Amino acid sequence: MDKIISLIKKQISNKGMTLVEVLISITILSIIVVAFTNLLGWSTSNIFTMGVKSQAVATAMEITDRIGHKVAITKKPEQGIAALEGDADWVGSEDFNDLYTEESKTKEHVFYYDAKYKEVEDEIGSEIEGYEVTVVVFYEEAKYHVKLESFILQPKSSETDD
Amino acid sequence: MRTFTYVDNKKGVTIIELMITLAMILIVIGLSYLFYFYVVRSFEISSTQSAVQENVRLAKNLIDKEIRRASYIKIEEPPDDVNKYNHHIMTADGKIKKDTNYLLGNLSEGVEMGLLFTKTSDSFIEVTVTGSIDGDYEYSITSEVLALGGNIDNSINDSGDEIYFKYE
Repeated sequence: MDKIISLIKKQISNKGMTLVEVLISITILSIIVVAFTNLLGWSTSNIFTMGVKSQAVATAMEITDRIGHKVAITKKPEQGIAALEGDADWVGSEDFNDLYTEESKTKEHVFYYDAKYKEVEDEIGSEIEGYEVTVVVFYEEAKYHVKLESFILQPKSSETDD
Repeated sequence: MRTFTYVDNKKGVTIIELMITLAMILIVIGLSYLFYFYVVRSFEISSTQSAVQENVRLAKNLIDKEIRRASYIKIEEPPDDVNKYNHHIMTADGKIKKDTNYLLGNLSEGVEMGLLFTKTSDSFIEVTVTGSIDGDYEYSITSEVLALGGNIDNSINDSGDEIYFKYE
């Protein structure tokens, strides 16, 4: 009997929460809310960043096109190398952080490219002459970059392939 | 009846307690509403902006491909010789049209698209594709495209929002 009475007492207790408990739960709730808000803001700003990335990709393709065009109007490797020489803003570094300076950060799109003359063998074994071209375009104040690597053929006689 | 004295407690809540509770409920509800509207608004901005960007990106890629393939290109003015230039890309009612079809189909619903072609050299055309919704959410991609097929006609206009071309 005593057991039942104590059980009833326990169940119908209408003790509420203390003010401290409520305040703690509100604090925890607001921490969660703030965390989610940050996530939301981050995902929204990411969409805009991706928009700038697409523009950077378009710029990288344009620069690759320009290099391809410079090579396409030449007839021999020597002419092609000469056309690209002195024009490369960047040759061969792998450390992209060294590439941009404080000054270049102010521009919208900063780019560097590298073009190396190469002779490679294709599947049939015949030799192919061309240029290994790497174009790097920085965006968002050089926080990010896109890298476009391509192989541009050296036209031999009348071909203008790229 | 000692056990029921606890339940039969007839003490109510004081006005102070009631007001504190009400104030706290109000604060919580107010904050949740603010948060809710913030979430809805930012979702709206994100989805609209990404829709505009998607359309511009897609249109730019498709137009670039056409320009690369084309063997004769003419900007703006409709050509006299229709057989030489039998395809065209232009905007109609804010949509991009290739020949008689809409380039993006129903995808660009609600997105106002704009085009600008400028001849920058003998083999390069600068292509600008813009997109917006009700003048808002503007986005554009600009780049110069190499016309591999050569032969860009510039006898009349160097810049315009229509392009006529032909494949070999």
